[in-house]
Parts: sequence; C-alpha cells; structure tokens
Amino acid sequence: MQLVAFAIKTLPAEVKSNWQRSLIIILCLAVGIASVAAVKIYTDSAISYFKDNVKEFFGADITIVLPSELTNDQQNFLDYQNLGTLTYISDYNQVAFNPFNRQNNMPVQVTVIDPEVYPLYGSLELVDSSSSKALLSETQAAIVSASLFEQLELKMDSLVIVGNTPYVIRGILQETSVPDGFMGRIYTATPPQAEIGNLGSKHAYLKLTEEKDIDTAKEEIAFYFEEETISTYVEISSHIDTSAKILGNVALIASLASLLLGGLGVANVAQVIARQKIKQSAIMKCVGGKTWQITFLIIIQIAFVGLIGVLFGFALGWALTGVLPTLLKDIISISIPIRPNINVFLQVSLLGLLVTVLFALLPVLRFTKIRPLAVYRDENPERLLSKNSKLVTALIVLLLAAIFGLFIGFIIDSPAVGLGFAFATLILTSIFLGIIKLVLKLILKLPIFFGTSAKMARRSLHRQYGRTSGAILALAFGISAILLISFIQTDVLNFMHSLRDDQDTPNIFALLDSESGPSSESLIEFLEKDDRLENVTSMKMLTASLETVNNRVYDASQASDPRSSILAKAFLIGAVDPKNMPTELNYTKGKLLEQNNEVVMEEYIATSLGLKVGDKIGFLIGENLREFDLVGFYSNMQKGINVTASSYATNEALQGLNPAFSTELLFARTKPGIAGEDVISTLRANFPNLGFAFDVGQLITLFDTIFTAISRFMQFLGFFALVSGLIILAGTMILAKWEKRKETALIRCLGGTTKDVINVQLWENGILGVLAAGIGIWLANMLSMLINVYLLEIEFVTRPLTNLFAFVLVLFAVIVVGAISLSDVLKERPLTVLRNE
Amino acid sequence: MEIMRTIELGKTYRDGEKETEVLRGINLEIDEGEFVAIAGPSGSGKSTLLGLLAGLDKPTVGQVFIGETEITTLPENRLAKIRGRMLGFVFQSFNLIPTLTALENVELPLILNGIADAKKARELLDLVGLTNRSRHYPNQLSGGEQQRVAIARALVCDPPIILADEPTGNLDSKNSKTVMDLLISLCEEKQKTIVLVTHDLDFASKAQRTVHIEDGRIS
Repeated sequence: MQLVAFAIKTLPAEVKSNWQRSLIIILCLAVGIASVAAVKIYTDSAISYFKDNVKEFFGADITIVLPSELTNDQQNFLDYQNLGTLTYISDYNQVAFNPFNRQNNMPVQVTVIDPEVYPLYGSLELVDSSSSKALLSETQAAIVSASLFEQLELKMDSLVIVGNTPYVIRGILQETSVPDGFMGRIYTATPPQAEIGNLGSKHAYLKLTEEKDIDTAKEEIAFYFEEETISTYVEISSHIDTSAKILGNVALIASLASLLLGGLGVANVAQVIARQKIKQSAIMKCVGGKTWQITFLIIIQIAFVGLIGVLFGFALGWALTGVLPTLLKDIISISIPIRPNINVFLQVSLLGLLVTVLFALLPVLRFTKIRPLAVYRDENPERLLSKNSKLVTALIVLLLAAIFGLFIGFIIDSPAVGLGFAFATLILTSIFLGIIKLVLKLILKLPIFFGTSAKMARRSLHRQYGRTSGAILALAFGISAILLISFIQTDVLNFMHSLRDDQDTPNIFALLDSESGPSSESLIEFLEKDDRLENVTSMKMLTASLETVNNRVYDASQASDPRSSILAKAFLIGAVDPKNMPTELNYTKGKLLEQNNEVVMEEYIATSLGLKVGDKIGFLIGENLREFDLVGFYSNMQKGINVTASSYATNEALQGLNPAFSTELLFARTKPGIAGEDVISTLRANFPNLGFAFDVGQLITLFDTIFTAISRFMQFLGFFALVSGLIILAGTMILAKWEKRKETALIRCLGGTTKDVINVQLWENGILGVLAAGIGIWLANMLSMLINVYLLEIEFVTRPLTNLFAFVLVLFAVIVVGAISLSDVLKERPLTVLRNE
Repeated sequence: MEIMRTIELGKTYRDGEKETEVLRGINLEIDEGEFVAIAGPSGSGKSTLLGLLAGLDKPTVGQVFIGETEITTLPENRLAKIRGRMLGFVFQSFNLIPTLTALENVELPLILNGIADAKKARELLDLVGLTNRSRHYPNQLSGGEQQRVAIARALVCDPPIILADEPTGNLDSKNSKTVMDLLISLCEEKQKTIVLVTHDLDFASKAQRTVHIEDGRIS
C-alpha cells in the first residue's frame, strides 16, 4: 500500500514531466475504449429494454397457437379455464389497396382483436395518443401502420381496402414499438372476408392471474394442446437475451480490435518510459529496491494515466451511443433508451486497465531488469540489462494472453470463446508483426537508398524496428478492416444486383396455395398476356418423406446432423423440365438431372442425411413410394433465386402424385426497363386472393438496406482501428523525437539544410506509409478474395482504382501525421539541442 | 570489529576477445565506524572496487563479506535487501530522481524497504539543513543541495555503512567542504562506517585510513 500511495503521490509530477507520453497513452486507450463502451452500452441497453418490455412485445404471459379446428376438450378448456384473462387474435396475410387506385397496394398483416381486452399488456400507441379501444369499437374501423398509411397515400377517416373488405382508418400506429419491415399492419375488430387471402394463424393470448405460476399454467395448458404450440414470455425473454447477447458479443469482439491496437500504442510508450527510467531503476536498486517493486511503481503510474484514458474513452463512448441509432436505423427501428449501467462501466473500465497493464508489463519488465551497476554507466546502460530467456518471455506472454482471454470470457459469458479470441489475436498479431519486420528489413536492404537523406532515413528506421512495426500493424489493420468490409459489401450487392438485372433469371415470383387462391392456369394466362413480361414458367413443389436408401429402411440415427430426422420427413421436391430448368444449379458432384428415374439433391442436406451420389432412394409422396437414382449434388444456385426446394426430379416422374401438401411457384421475367414492383402491383390488383407474390428487386432493396446498415456499423468500428493506428504512429514519432532532434542538429552542424532534414523525414515516413498501406491493402484484398471464393462463392473483383486511392490516402496521412508530430524539431537551433545532450 | 572484508578480489571486463583486468588480488578489511578513503588516479579501479563492495557487480574472482554474509554469491533480490538495510550510497552525479521532490527522494528507500516512518525523511532533511527545500525538485536545487539530499537519502534507512563515490566531484570548494564535514560528522557522531572513493588526496587525508589503488592493485 505504501508503494501505491507513493506512486499516486508522485504521479502529477510524472505526468507533467512526460505529458506527451501520457497523452499518447490516454488517446490510444480512449479511442479503443470509446468503441467498446459504445457497443457495450448500446447492446446492454437494448437487452434491458427488450427484457423489461417483453410482455408488451409478446402481448401476453402465455400464447397458444390454435389448430384450425378445436376439439371439444380444447374448446371447453378455453371456455371455462380459470387461469386469467383470455383473448383471441387472428392474423390474416392480405393485400391492402388504396380504394381510388388499386395499383397502389401493399401486403399487410391484418390482426383481428377484441379491443375491449387487447392488448393484455401495454397499449396500442397511436400517433395522436387516442385510445384504440374507443376507435375500434366501431364496425369496420381499423388502425393502420404509418408505413402503410404513407405508401398507399391514405387519408384519415377514409377507406382502405383489404382483399375485398373495406375498412375505415381511425388511427395510425406509432411505429416505435414494433419494427414494420416491408409489410404493413392493420388492427381491427372486424375480420376480413374469410374466402379472400389466407388465414395466417390464430392464437389465444393469456394474461395469468397474479397468484398463478407460469410453469404450472403451462403444464395445465399442455394437457390440452401440443407443447410446441405453447409459448411463455419467459421463454421469449430468454431467446431475446441469448440472441441479443450473441449479436452484442460479436460486435464487442469486433470493437475490441481498436482497443487491442491501442494496447500496442501503450506498449510502445511503456517501453520508452521504462527505457528512460533505466538509470532511475538502477538507483532504486542501489537503495534497496527489488525488480518487482520498481516494475510495480512504473506500472501503477502507467495504469493511472491509462485510467484517465479509460474514463475519457467511456465518456466518448457514451456520446457515440447517440450515433449508433442513426447507423442502425434500417435494422433497428425502435428507439432504445440508453441507460446508465454501473456494471458496464466497471467492466469496460477494468478491461481498459487490464489492457494497459498487460501491454505495458512486458516492456517495463524488460527494462527494470537492469543491474544496479548502471548507476555508474552513463553511456549505453542497456548493456547491463539482464535478459529473460525466450522461454520465460513466451510463458509470460501466454499467461498475459490467458488473463486477458479469461476476462473477455467473463464479459461475454464464455471463457472458451474469450480464451480462443485472445490466443488467436496473439498468434495473428505475432505473425503479422513478424511479416512487417521482415518486409521492413527487406525494404531497407533494397538498393533504393541513394544520397545522404535516404541513407539517414534507413538508419533511423533500422533503430526503430519494434516501435514502428506496431504502428504499421495498427494502421494496416485499420485500413484493411474498412476496405475489406467495403469490398465484401460491394461484391455481395453487385452479385445480388446482377441476379436482379440478368434477363435469364426470373425476378417475379408468385406462390400459389393449393387450397385457396387462383389456379395456376389462370395466373399463367394472365401473366403471358402481360407484354411487360417474358419467360413465364411454373414449378410444382411436393412434400415427400425419405423412406428407403438402397432398398433398406432409412435410419436417421446414423446421419451426421441431429436435425436429419426432421429433414428426412420434410423434403420439398421441385418438379421441373430438365431441358428448361427455372434455376441453373451449381453441380458439385455427379451429373445433371436428365431421366425420369433420377433426382438431384442439395449437397448439404444430402451429406447431412448420409446420402451419396449413386444411392437408390425411396420417397414417400402422398401414399406412393417412388424410387429414384440420386445422380447429382448441387451446392447453390449458379443463377436465380433459391426457391427452397431441397431436391429436383422431372415433371413426368412426379405426375399424378398427391402429397399432403403441394404448392406451385410461378416465375416470370420483366422485360428490360420494366420495374418488377409495378408488375406485382398489377398482380395484386387483379388477384387480391393471391397467396404471395414478390419482386426480387424489392427483396434485394430490402437486403441492400440491411446489409448496408450492418456494413456501415462494421466500418464505424474499423474507423476506430484506423484512428488508433494514426495515434500510435504519431505517438511512435513523438517518442522517437529526442533521437530525431539530435539527428537534425547533427545534420545542420554538418552543413545540412532544412530541405535535407525534410528529405530524411519524407523518406522515413514514405517508407512507413508505403508499408502500412501496402500491407493493409494486400490484407483486405486477400481476405476479401478468400471470403468471396470459399465462403460466399461469388466472384472476386480486383479494384485497382480503390486500392490506389486507399494507398495514396494512407501514404498521405502518414506523411502528414509525421510532419505534424515532428514540426517543432525543424525550429530548434542545433546548439541548444547539442548542449541539452 | 570488521564490517567489510574482501579476499583476493579481482575483476576482469571482457569486450569480445579483449580482456581488461581492472582489479586483482584485493584484500581489504574495514572496521565498524572506520572512515576509509580509497584513493587513486582516474582509471585505477576505485569505483569498480566500490561497486563490488556494494554488490552492484559480481567479481571475476574472490569474495566480499558484509558482516558475516558473503555477498558475491547472493541473488539480486537478497542483495537488494542487504543494500537497503546495510548500505547507503552517495554518488558523484547525485543520482536523484528528477520527478521526485527532495523529500520524496529521501522517502523512497523507506518505501522500498517497507519502513513505515514518515517523520524519518523530514528529520534527515533537517539534519542536512534542507528542511525549507523539501518540496523542491532536483533541478530547482544547487549541486551542493542535491548532494546533501543524496546524503539524507543514504542515511534514511539508518545503514551502518555509507559508500561515497567521488561525492565532491561535481561541487565547488565551499560545497565540497560542507559535504566532507557532513561525512566526517556521520562517522564521528553517529559511528557510521564511511568508504570514500576520491582522487583528491586532500579529501583522502581527512579519512582515518587511506587505501591507495594503482593499476588495479592496492599499492
């Protein structure tokens, strides 16, 4: 305690005498902590908000998905149950129209409620704060979502047509509580006409009496209804918690990158501080100090400076939570109230301190292992450093990584992931630092250093391998993170757009319900008459169950995937004309579908089930068992949109079969220049009872929005890494300033001009910039190529112009940062510098 | 009664293949409360001998005893403990820590040796006549004042031995005299053992005994 008190007492003088170094530590940590704090505060606030309002979101304590027809027992239970308040909700998937322009339409979910009881928790919040209960008591009254109201250009107290049912708009939902997506919502007490559209689902919502325990209530309900159809708000809360935690942890780990880079900056400064304190360490040893005491004193002081950085970073992170809703508004439409949370503050602060201490420890330990004889040696006291063996150093590094990993594991509730992350980071950082040092050495050996300035720059860079490598790594990582995300975003979106724009690929899809809605013949006839369309085709999809493999009963227990038994029972076979396939399959094994006795299957499903090309498989379709030769596997669609069929067979092979469920998918392609959404509007206007119809362009636009929002968020985190890199670089230059000052004075004493000094700096910073930009761009391109080719299976496109732009930008940034960091060196008189020496 | 002793002490520095024998066959005994001056020309090995006596460096051959303890074979942390308890250092270049005030520089050995005596540092500054300069940093003190702070620091843990390496080397004559008088009074009044390394024969003559070193040997 005496040591700690002494360290704190002497801290102000230390900070004052080393203010530049202290500032570098503060900035390095503040940037990293800001990114971690912003993510952690936002995700924790979101989790708390969802959990606190789970009953309002869920709408009940318990919900039951009701079967289409209730048994007498079920009906009696619901009629006479005494668990609490019960209400029924029916959801219909419909199309809503503007009554004056049927082309102006939108798919909607119509929720039919009892306004006297619904909602069981909270209230339907309307933009004018009026009561939904009063509004919906009138027949045919409806409350509509704001997006529906705007898109269909509706008016208050006028009509909206749903299917063939007119509703009077009495209120507009405030869309802060439920994200709306691309489907509108309507609440009403009057059901739409039953034969129009399709009934999505019917639920019973239950609010328990206070004395009723939720688990007991569920058990009672489970006596009458299948357990899978019963959900409790506790289960939903747990699901929300788990999903949000996973997403939050992914974001947290991404945000840790800039904090770890900040750690490299701290390590650089700690090395300089400890090196500067070599003589002091030796003096302390002369007066009885032990290595651990001296290390402790220096670390405590660095940690206190780090704490200032952590607090500053936390405040910055708090401020940044104001930016996150804007970045994420396309995927999280709810306004999440940011809440102060002492746990988050403590976790982030401890994390910042831990990073400070762990990164500072090794360099400090290296320099405090000075032999006390150094008090006598003014020249090169570093020769008196006791060297740790490489094994001891490696063990210390592994120990520090394990401590860091366990702490991260503690924050994200998964020690294994935390440890994995820490060791993976350690390994990757070591590899990249090694590569950077090697490349730097090779560059310095190149015969490009002609003239005195170039040679001096080479010597200067030689002296600073360690420190500059960290800065280069940080910068390279920052630029590569931003580029990589941008590359992937562009490639994926380009791929999606190419699908949308490819005239051979259908972009209009209509899914026909076999039990209700229009016949496929009438729809095909309608589509074929529409001169905006071409290539109108259809594909029937039948449900089937895998029964035999090579004439033996299929045994799901031998399959690799535990879900196989479900997969085997729920096959969806597409009936196609092999010569005119609706989608072009990417075959990975075997051959194309040709004959009527053949079937091709999605590779993942087939391998999960333990099937091989060449197997003879038997499908039970309806009451018929049909045998097929499994002739090929495909991995995905080469072209076109995945229509969820898990295998394909010929039309002839599947003709005349009557499975329990079948559906028909209609495909069409709009002619060049025709907007798909206009065709869909026409379809809905003429077939309001159409099950489902969509335009690929609309889906891609939605995907575009979501993917761009995620990319923007990741780039936001990558930006912090880039800023960390620039701070570390500036820090490295400031730390080496005394060497630069002496070198500049000597150049001037020997007749050099300011131009010569600037030339040396330009060479030095130019090489650092080239290396940082080169490695960053190489890394981004390499990772992008690997992800595109092996993970996304899309084409990798080289972007010479973007790469060149990034290269010039980083080079320019490094040269500017270098010039600013060392600008005062140019102003100093050589004699003043040499006298101070 | 002897407090320090060396037996056939020798030190050779190696720089690549080149070997330089700095000290050889040094046999020296220093009694408790004795004021011994080690004198000799520049490069004769005086400071190396002091460094070996303090356990700051390992001898190539021979042994060093402080009291009954042979220090040549001790690990660094044990040596640090002995230095903290038994030895006080005064250097030519003062070796104060620039970011600590005069008082904090004197307090430092107390803290490193786990001695909880807050008043002691002030008493020592009072002893060397610097009470009113306790809050000053080394760069705000004159050379003489810095050396007196260094002496206070050397005394604060109450060690029986003070090792002073050219303590007047960076001082003017007035301050040199003040420092020498202080060292003599420490020996006479507080019975401290003083080992003074100097090349100045005038100062050496003020010691009870002078050991002359030349070319690494006691002459």
